[in-house]
Amino acid sequence: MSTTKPVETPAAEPQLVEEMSKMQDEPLLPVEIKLVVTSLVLGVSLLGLLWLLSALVFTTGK
Amino acid sequence: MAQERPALLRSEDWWSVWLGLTIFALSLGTLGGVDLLGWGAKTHVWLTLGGSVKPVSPAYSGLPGVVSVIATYAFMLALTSVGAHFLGLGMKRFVAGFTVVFWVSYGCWFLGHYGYIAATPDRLKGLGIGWSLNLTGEAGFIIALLAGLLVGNFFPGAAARLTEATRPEWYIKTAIVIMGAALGVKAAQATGLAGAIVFRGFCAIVEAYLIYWAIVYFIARRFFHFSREWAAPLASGVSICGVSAAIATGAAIRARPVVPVMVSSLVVVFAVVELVLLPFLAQRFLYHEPMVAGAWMGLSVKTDGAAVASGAIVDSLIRAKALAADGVRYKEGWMLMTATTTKMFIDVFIGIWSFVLALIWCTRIDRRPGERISARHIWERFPKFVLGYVFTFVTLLLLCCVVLPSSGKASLLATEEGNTFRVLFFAMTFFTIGLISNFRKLWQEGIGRLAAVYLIALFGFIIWIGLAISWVFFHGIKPPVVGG
Repeated sequence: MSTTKPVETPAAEPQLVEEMSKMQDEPLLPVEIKLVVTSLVLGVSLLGLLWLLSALVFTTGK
Repeated sequence: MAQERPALLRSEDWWSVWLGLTIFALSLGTLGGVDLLGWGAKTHVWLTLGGSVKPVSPAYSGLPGVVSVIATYAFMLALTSVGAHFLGLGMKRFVAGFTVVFWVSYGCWFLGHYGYIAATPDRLKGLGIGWSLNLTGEAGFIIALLAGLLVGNFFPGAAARLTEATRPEWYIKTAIVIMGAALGVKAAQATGLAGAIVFRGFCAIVEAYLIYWAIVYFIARRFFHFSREWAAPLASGVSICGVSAAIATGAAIRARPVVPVMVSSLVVVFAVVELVLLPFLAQRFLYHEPMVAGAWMGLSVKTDGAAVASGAIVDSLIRAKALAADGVRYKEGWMLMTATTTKMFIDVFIGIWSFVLALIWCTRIDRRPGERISARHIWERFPKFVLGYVFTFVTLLLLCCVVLPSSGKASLLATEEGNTFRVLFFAMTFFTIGLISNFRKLWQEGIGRLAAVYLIALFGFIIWIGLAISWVFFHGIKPPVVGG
């Protein structure tokens, strides 16, 4: 996909430990919970719908 | 300099389209009776050097194999050098690097065709040998990967000298554009099955974006206490498309560059682990369900290069196993097609997903006055090489089904000619993936927490949910059988 390669830049490497230790605990916001739950509900429902369609319409090869 | 050129000429993504289309266009000469690429080197399973490499087309049968390989190298160098020039790469270093990458990759590809490594049971008698590892010629890819890992991890100085030509994403995308034509011909032979595979590709989108992402994000935030800035790119890296998704997400939520870079390093390393493990697991347990195995690779292995590469390996391993165990000879390429289709369906939605995330972050989480998100966001992140793949796929499908239905033989030769270059781009992808996979990173202080989430997500549920969903949607579907 992206053309950017994961090249380890000398500048980026030593920053990791520092970055990790600097990371602050941010409480989960209601909007984040909503994003996660909506995604899962939508995902499972759509998979069910697609499975139904594949069983009824795209049966070739079975 | 490169920055001043239009986007069509300065991105690696677009250049994979141009290179792939050039090879595709030249290969179509066979349809008009003009064989322009028939001199390309095709490597056969061998025990002695004589006859191991020949030009792909009978029209060039008088050409010695060694000349054919040198011509293939010169052609690929010339083609990629044009791209490298427009990409603003250092030409001397690119030419030198490409030369090393090409010849090492070709050497591995050639070695992979050694009879005792590659021969399938039906070939043993013809070669006069009693056994082989039964890995098919695609074993060359695994050898190339191991060679790359060896150089990348133990000779970092040598690997650094090849940096200009260490471009696995460019090589694999070019190969995918070329591969579209071959898959178009296959689809023409079984349009119903191809349609079913494409339809099931939609499931991959739902799974990657709505299920994987949500679970990984929640785990990273709730149990590992990652900040939003780290959790979102990490969730995208593990669940969607590896490097590119991590970078696109990082940009969408305005994370600092260090975040996606770190996530990407991890993605590449674990993709190699998956590439080495999963195809062999699939061969062991899924050879009765080849299409499940193909879809599983597309859904579980991160990064385009590793996913499509694992599709190629699983295709050869399962065909060899099915032939040895059950005497069933599946047609080549259907598992690879399933893995590629699944992966590309995931890819094309990265732009839309990053747009959605940008919208949520911008309006709900990290509000900044006056900031607006535009639809241009989607196009900027759309993987352009997919356009090349769709073009070559549809062109050959239409040619075989509608425009020139009697062109079967010429179309097959055209795709075979393209294929000689496609497999070499694949081999270079494997070698260069190895070059950039720095396993020492795993031992780097501080990466443990990041790696723990990745490890738990990937091996704890992503590959198993991927397997379950692949099973639900693909079990019972078989690739066409040779002569069937």
